Amino acid sequence: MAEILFPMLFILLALGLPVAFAMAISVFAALSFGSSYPHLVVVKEMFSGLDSFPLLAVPFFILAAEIMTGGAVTLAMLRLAQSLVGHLKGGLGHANVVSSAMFAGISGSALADAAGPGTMMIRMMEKGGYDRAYAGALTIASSIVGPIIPPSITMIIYAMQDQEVSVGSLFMAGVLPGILITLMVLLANARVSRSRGYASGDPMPPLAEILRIALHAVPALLLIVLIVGGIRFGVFTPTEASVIAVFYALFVGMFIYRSLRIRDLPDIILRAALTSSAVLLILGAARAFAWILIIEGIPQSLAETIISWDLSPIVFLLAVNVLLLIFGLFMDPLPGVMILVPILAPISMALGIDPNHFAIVVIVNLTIGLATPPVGSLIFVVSSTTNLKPSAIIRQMPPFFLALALALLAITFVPALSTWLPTVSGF
Amino acid sequence: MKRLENIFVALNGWALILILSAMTLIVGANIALRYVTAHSLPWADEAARYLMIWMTFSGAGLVLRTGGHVAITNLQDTLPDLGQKILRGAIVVGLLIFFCFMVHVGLQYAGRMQYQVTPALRLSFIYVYAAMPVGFGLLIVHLLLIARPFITAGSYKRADGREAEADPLPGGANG
Repeated sequence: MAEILFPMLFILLALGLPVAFAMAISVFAALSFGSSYPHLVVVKEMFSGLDSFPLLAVPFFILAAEIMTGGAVTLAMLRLAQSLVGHLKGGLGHANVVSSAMFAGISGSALADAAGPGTMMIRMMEKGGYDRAYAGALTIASSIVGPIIPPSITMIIYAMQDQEVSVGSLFMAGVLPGILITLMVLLANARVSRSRGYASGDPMPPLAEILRIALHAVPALLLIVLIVGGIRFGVFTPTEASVIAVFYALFVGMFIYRSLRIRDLPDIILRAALTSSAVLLILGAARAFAWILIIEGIPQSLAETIISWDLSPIVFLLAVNVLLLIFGLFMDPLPGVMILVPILAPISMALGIDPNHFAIVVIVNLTIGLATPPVGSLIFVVSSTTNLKPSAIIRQMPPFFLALALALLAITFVPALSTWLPTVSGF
Repeated sequence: MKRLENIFVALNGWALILILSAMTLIVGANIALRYVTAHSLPWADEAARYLMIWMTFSGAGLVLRTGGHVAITNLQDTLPDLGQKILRGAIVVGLLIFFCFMVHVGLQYAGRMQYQVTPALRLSFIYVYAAMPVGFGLLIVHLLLIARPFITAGSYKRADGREAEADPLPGGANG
């Protein structure tokens, strides 16, 4: 069946069919022409992919982020970032990167990062004399941390595929790599800003002023503490944490920032429902797709082949990096996780690689894929919000690709970056 | 006709709003109950999961309408104008056939499972699995509604009713 499944998928994707439908159609085609299984098996797999309590965290985190994204919260974060790094050379660019990292603590997705604070920052940077395409490229690079710094939709899905890790341990594991990626993108921005002479922003405000601005951003930044802390101390499960995040966002929006009005809620909820529907539909289809791979024995035979090569863990990780970066050129992270993790995670386990470390390598890789042409959702989002051609933005990307590649190498070769926090926090 | 379309889109939207709100309230109430009274609702998890299934399928059509399904259009964009139209026409026809097929197998599956009941709510599974044929039925209607602008210009509808360029949902789709 696999000899029909993969070619079919690639052809349908290349023709421009939506990913979810392309996967479902190729599953049905593979089943019809290569096996005696009834079609209803596919339907059953799609439903069992969706019928899951942990998966509920996905729509809830999306909803919480949509509620939080309202003007006041994003603005509070932008101002805090601005007051901390705005006075440096390329200050507005730095503020863009830092606010993305803060926003990553609210949202679990890179696209939400780019579409929310990213759009605002691009406008501000353009007014501050930056090239618009450069501002767009910087936003793409800085949005990568969205699903690396918790909460993260990709991590929730990953934890459902690999029993060796939990949502809580992955959330912890992502913190340091997320900060590292942020630092690397900051460095890249500093270098470019110096060579192009991008100005520094406003001078650093006095300490008292910074504290006041920070205090204003605290209710928004507290969400990540609430989520990670609550899960760690067993107060609630990740799914419950996601619902609590929704109510917390409502509370903060209505009573602390007072920017959320009841009559805005239906629109916010609808946006979250549509985004969730798109994500979940892909998951249902990917589940059926993965099921075919499993009954074909592909993960097992691939695992045996690779293990028989007797690779050292380092070589294996490097090979995984190359494989995932190529895969990420064409595929988004969620179907990537659904299809590849059941294949790769057991191999890495057999080679003695820490499962949290491996998970972060996979997730960072696939998320970088969102920023790479030809198929990079982040590029599409930013090109549609900036009205720039994707190619114009991509031309500005090389310094950031270099920064991301260096961060990825560090994450690959220094397991402690991803394993230290989960270990000390007792996962 | 235009008015009917608007009513249809609004109803579809409100159904989604109600479903996601209900999910949030049910799971939220369950946590609150557990902490306050040390009891939880045995059916809460189940109800939330089935509502999520309904949200997924009944939202797919509206997502299609606003261009929110991720697709790779690089090849399409390199074709000459006429080629693009033909390719998009073929995609619409192909999707229509696929959606009809999904309605068919969805109905078959729901019909086969109708005598089983869910563990906690004791609800016939037909009410859960009907989500798929209903959702793909909605997809058929939404696809027919956007077929003309999509084939001729590759454009989708905006949530507020104006026509627009392909406009990815500013949300979390795909990571």
